[in-house]
Amino acid sequence: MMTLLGPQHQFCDGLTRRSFLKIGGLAMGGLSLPQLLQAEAASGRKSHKSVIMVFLSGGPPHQDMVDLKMDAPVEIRGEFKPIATNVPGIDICEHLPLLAQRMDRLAIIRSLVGSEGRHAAFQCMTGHSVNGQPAGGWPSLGAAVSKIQGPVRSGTLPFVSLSPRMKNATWGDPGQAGFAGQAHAPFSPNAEQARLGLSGISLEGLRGRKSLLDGIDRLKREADQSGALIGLESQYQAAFGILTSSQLVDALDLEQEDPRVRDRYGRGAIENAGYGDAGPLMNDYLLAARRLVEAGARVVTLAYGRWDWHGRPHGTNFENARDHFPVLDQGLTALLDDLHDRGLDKDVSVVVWGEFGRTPTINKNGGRDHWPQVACAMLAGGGMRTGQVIGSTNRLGEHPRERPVHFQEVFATLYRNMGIDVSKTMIPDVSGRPQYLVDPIHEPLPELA
Amino acid sequence: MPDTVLRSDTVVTSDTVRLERRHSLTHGNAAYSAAFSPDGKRLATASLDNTVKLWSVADGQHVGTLKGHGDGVAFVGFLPDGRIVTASLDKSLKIWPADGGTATATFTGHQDYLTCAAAARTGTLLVSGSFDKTVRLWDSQTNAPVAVLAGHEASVQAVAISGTGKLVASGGDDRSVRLWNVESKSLFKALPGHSRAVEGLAFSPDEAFFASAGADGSLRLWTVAGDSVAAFEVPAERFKSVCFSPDGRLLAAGTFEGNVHLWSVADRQEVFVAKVHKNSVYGVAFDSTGKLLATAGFDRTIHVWSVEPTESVK
Repeated sequence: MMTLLGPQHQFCDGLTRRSFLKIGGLAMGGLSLPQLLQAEAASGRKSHKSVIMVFLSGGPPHQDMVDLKMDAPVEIRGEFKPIATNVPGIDICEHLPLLAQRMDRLAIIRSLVGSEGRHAAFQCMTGHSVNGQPAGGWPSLGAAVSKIQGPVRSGTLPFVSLSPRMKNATWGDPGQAGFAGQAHAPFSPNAEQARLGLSGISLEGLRGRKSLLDGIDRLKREADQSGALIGLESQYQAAFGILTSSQLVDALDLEQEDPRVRDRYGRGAIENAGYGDAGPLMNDYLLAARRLVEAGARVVTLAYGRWDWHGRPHGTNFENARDHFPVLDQGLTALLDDLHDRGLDKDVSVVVWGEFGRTPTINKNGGRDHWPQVACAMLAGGGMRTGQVIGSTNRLGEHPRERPVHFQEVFATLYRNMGIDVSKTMIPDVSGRPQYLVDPIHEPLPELA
Repeated sequence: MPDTVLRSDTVVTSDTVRLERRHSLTHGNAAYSAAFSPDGKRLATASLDNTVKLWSVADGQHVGTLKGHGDGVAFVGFLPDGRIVTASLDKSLKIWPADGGTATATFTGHQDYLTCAAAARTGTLLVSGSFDKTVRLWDSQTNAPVAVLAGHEASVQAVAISGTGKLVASGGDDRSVRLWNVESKSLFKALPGHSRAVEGLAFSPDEAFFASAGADGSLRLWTVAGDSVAAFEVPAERFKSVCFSPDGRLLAAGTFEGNVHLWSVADRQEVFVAKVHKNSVYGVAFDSTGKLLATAGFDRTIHVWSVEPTESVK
């Protein structure tokens, strides 16, 4: 976040200092200046397709969450009991009782495969492995959508990440721009550190839009050295108009939300979870994600909690699950209800997942370790056929028994929900070679159509 | 098992004991330990959020935070002179001024997570236990290491020291309780009995007994000579923490299931049980009067309870 020193101040154009802090954060989080300006598209509010991706940093335990193994021996089975959902025949964890009553709005994948086993958000953000990337690197879902579809309308941001800076940077990865280009990097209002170094702009220098533009010019000159903002100077004046647009500021200002709605989501803790190394268990961000898609965002990502539960002395897998599950249960339920009640559930896709599953056998410290062989995901909205479980694992939760689902099939589905046909859409990498968004062997999940 | 009635959000009673919640205090992560200052005015709470918070017992106000550990803080206690001692998963113990501020001493030596510690009620001796399977003794006056007590075959999860510092008890994942003679720095006795990890240990104030709390659902009472006196069995639960009341009449224990149990030591009877936390109870501690009990939970919360006999037994 840009550091502004000085007292509370009403700027000459009516913006408060608080507003400017948020604007500063926008600039720091990977300011997408050109694409903010490229489309003077539809005017007025209309519904659009969007994705909210909740990244469970560290990898949630599939067998304790949505795929309980009551027939497994005690060293695998775990402590939790399944409960029935409102869809006959589908059980989930007893510590997710609210979601159990919304199962008709969820699709659970119990057989997610293809994890590269890396402790990082990268695969959940891009669908691809870190290794073997094309020139310029894979764009994340948000960056690719931004590149292909641009902003919904003038003054909106296609891609927003609510992940704050955290000690484990790979968990806080908001989703890289890759070969989509830096212009399609996410707006990261929670980032604490400027990627492009705006800290040199003083409060005094912000007293007026022209002054800020001067500051951005300095930023531009610095950024030019890396080539990140080449050719963008003509956009700056209009860019600043977007930065100061009330839609963006309003979407982020949860004080404008009905307090009862915030309470329904559960608010949450703003501190990074775990040991400062993972996303906060912050249900306010789920609400902010809903507000952002309503304000025009196409893709919103956030890192949520710390799910890397290896056991004592940092609490057993089950103690941590008893800590995290109820908070996710409340927040995600509120989000699903909200999307439904506001008529957004056909347009907004929600995906909740982590980078891998957890070991079937509980270790000596009451934890479960990394298990890339199989994982789980929860999907909702987006017009998908919900109220179903896709795939299954064997009796011990070690590997898929039926219908393995690759990460990229989920991405293909999300792109389809956005109106993007992955069989036909390509983006050139920085060497000019056209690249499919997902490997051509993967298609959208027919079960969800 | 006694009948326990939740009278309201804040009052829980059994036939003989009434607990009323005075304060609910929070940390940013799981609460692992709590201790009242010798004068009873302050409560210190240790957390997996790497901090220790200091609270006013009278009104529950947060009055300070001790920062300096690099990992979760597993233990907090007070030295006889009022200074604060902490032990952290970062493998170190620290001593802090009574009013907080900056640590004045740091003890290092453990080679793996430091999970438990205790301070003698009199004297200067500290004891700590670790995933490195050792128990270590330290002198809080000279800031010097005193001894390394080896013998456990797995991680040490609990330690206790008698009030005068003559005996140390330790237990852990090898399921044994070990009694150590401090003067000779040697093992006095290894006590089998628990069928799962030993998670909590406490000496009685008169130094006649000590109690061991096991993940096997048993709370065992021993003489300091190592003879088994009694065992309280709660098969459906796993004990995590234990302490004696300052008059030695009550044993309090916390469980992974979020319950707090109280036993009458003289009657060998459970007099109270209630689920008071949403997650495991990592710490239980009485104040010096025995009228207040603090319970620290993995639910990020510390409750401070007044403990009174019910009207029927007054």
